[in-house]
Amino acid sequence: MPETRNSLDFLDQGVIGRLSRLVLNVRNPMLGSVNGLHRSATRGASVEFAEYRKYAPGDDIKFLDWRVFARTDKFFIREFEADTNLRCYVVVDTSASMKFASQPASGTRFDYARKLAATMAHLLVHQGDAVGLSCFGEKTTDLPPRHTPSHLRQLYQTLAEAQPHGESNIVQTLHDFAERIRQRALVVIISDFFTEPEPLLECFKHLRFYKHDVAAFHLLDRQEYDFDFTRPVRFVDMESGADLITDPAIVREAYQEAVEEYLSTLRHGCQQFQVDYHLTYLDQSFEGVLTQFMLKRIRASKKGGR
Amino acid sequence: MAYLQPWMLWLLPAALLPVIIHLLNRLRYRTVHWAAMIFLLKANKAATRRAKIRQYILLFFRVLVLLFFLWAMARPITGGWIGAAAGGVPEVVVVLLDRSASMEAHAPEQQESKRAHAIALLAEAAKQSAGSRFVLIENVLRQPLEIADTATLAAMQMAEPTDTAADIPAMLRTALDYLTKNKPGSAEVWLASDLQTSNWRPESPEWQDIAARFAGLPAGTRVRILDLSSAAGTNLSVAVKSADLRVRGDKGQLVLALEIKSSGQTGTFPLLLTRDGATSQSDLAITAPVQRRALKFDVPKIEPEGGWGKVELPADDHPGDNAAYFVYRPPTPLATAIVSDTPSAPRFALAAAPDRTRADRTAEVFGAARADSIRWKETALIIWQAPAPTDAVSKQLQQFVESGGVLVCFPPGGDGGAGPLGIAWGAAENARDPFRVTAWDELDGPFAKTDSGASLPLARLEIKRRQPAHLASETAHVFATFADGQPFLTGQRIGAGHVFACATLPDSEWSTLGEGFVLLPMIQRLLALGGAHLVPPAMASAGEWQPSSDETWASLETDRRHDPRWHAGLYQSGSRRLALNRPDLEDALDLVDAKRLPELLHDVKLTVMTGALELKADRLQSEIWPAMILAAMLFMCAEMLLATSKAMIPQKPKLKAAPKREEALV
Repeated sequence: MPETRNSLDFLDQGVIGRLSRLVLNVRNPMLGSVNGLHRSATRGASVEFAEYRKYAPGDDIKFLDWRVFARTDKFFIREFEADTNLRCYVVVDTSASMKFASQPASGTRFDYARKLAATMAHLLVHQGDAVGLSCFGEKTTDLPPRHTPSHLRQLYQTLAEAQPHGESNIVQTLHDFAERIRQRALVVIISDFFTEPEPLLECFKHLRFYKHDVAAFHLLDRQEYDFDFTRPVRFVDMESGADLITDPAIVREAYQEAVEEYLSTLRHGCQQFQVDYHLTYLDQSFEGVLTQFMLKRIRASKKGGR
Repeated sequence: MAYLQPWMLWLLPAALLPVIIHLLNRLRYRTVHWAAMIFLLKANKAATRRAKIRQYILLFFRVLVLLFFLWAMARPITGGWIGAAAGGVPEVVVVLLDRSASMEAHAPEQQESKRAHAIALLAEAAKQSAGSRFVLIENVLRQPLEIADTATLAAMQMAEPTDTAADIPAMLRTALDYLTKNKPGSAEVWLASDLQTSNWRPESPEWQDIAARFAGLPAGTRVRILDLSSAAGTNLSVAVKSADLRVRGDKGQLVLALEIKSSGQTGTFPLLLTRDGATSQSDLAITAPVQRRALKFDVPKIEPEGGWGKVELPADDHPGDNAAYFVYRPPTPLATAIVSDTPSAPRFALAAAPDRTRADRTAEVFGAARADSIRWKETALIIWQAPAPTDAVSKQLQQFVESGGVLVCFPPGGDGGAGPLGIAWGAAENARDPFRVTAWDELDGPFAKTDSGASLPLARLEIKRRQPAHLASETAHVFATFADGQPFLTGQRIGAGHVFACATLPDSEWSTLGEGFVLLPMIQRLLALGGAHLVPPAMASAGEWQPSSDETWASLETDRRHDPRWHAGLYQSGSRRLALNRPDLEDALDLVDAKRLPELLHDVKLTVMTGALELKADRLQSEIWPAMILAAMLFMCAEMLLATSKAMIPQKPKLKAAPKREEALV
């Protein structure tokens, strides 16, 4: 039996311990099923005043504001904010291109994605939120969102067993995903996004249409940007197996221009559709990346009043 | 373009090594599994043309670097502005200009003389060596003369045509003296010459010394020889060998001895003769490469100062040797001293002064004991038929000969022994059958043909007794020999005079020499030879004769350039007249083979431009390997700049670099 990655070595308890002092917030109100840490899209019973509205027959009269009635001789109902839990879907690319690593000793792109996904899932479950998992590659593996510890273990197991393999169609996968999950959620997509940017941005737009809070972790190896080869190389596509022999010295400039153009398009598109885009190089510490991700959201929620 | 190491050119294909390495590298690719193929495919399709062009330029530069290095190793030499610009400019250029008479010849299809062509070439080359100091040394004065502006070289008096001869070894020695004295940092010697053998004297031992002195100069002193020799075109030359005025009472007869040389053509040519201002023309039949002709003219009235004239041939490829000048004057009284105690003395006296009624020939017999009473300064010829002189007389004889007199010795008899001035007499020999003279020099010397072209009857001499003499000097010349090779008459030059030794006596016991048919012309010719030093010459060679500082010479002609220092012509100073002609050696057509020049100047950095007459002025050659090395280095720098340019090295992300690891840590 091949060594399954059941050892859960992608979990770093030190990192989890340090990050558990932070809260992973969402940028939009959620529609949770139970009480939680996150702002709900509906009115609730929290102590935080939300707004007045005119009395309608059937409303509980205990919420009438008698002082307003005494002044204006009109009935107004006091409403309060509701707190709910969060549904989060972690979408991980498991196509063959995720196997890439310019420094194999430091781990592949998929190793990095797995660390991000597992750590994030752990933090969310432990703050009472439900986490689901979707690994898409040649075939797609889905886990629905739950907030129980047993579900978290199952999620770890799925991640440990996942192997990058074959070709993927991220565009179709994300469109299907958007149609499948109608309830508001935080959707974290971890991928190399090696596809045309315009269709990809359409996917983000689709997700945003259903009021999902979309976060995209774009994982790049530094060599994929620098293209620092010196001798002629036969490049073999990790997904399709197609090959190309070329002299890097000749194509380097055009290659880097293509990468720049792609990144620029993706960045501007994400900005336009309010996707929380994170360009992440594999030589960066995943703890640092997650910390930045969480702090940014905390700062955004404070500005928004919560 | 020529190459000093042409075999290096075989290595030129090695310049393609960068291309071969490039192609091999393309074949020796490594395989990389790559995820970001989307960008690579785009890049491969997109604007790679510029990058490919840069890559090809890079390869081109690498090929050029190797090409120029290999090319430089072949040591190319070239001319024109490339040669001058690339070969480096010497600090001093010493220009040796041969402006001898033979340099006025021109190639068959050219109008420009060799000298003018050489000057044009040198002036053009000098333009390309701007920054060098130019020093001119010409063949007449051989004085280094610094030239401020080389453009004026053609107009300089020191570059004008002359009728002189050139002494190339002496010119090179002058150049060496100049370079040794001034010690320039770098120098070149440019020598323009037609390689005439008589000017170069290739057999002279001087060349050893010259080559050794060049080797002692600072490294890099190069000698460039502009070889202006050319195949002889059509040429006839005329020279006046003598102009004798023979006096008969009040009347005289002028006898002109002409020597005509032909480069091969025969036929009848007009000869223009000018005598005392009157010009006449006669036909001259040329039948041999060298022939002599005597022209006789009656002179009705003899002027004390004599007369002058010139002979001219039609124009040909060498205009410098078509005219010869002469001055004639009444014969000078010539005295002969005969030192003999034998019965031969009267016969000598008769041969020296055959006509006792004429005062221009006198002969006096001295006994051997009275030899010291000879009037040395008034005597033209001494006939010595006596034992070896005493030391005092021997010393006086030496002075007499060195000052231009002629001494002719006849056998003293006996078993031989030492004679005057190094003559060694052998033992006297008797013959049952008479000794015969079988070979003699008919071109020059006492047995030359007569004016009418007739040979002297030496073969008729019957010699019963002989006593051959030998001269110690290597320069001795045998004028006539017996059938067994023993010398009949031998002679040598000592100082300005001559010494001769004859092997028999004009005595009936010895030979029939006393009959006079050989003795008379021989003694008369020797007397004329000895008499030349008693009076100033009437004819001389241009360049060899130089006017003294207290004399003023004016030309008798007005239609050509006249400078008595180097131009042939007719000149007058007071009542004295002088005809200057080009030296005889200038008529010799022998040339030094250009292939011999490296032998003469062995171990000297030498460039010989063979066939310079066909060259244009911009083809003077220089070694240009320093420029090749420089070009190779420039290409190397260009290659380096291109290789390290933006397009050739990996670039870091420009727009939004990924956060550093430290920034991400909280």
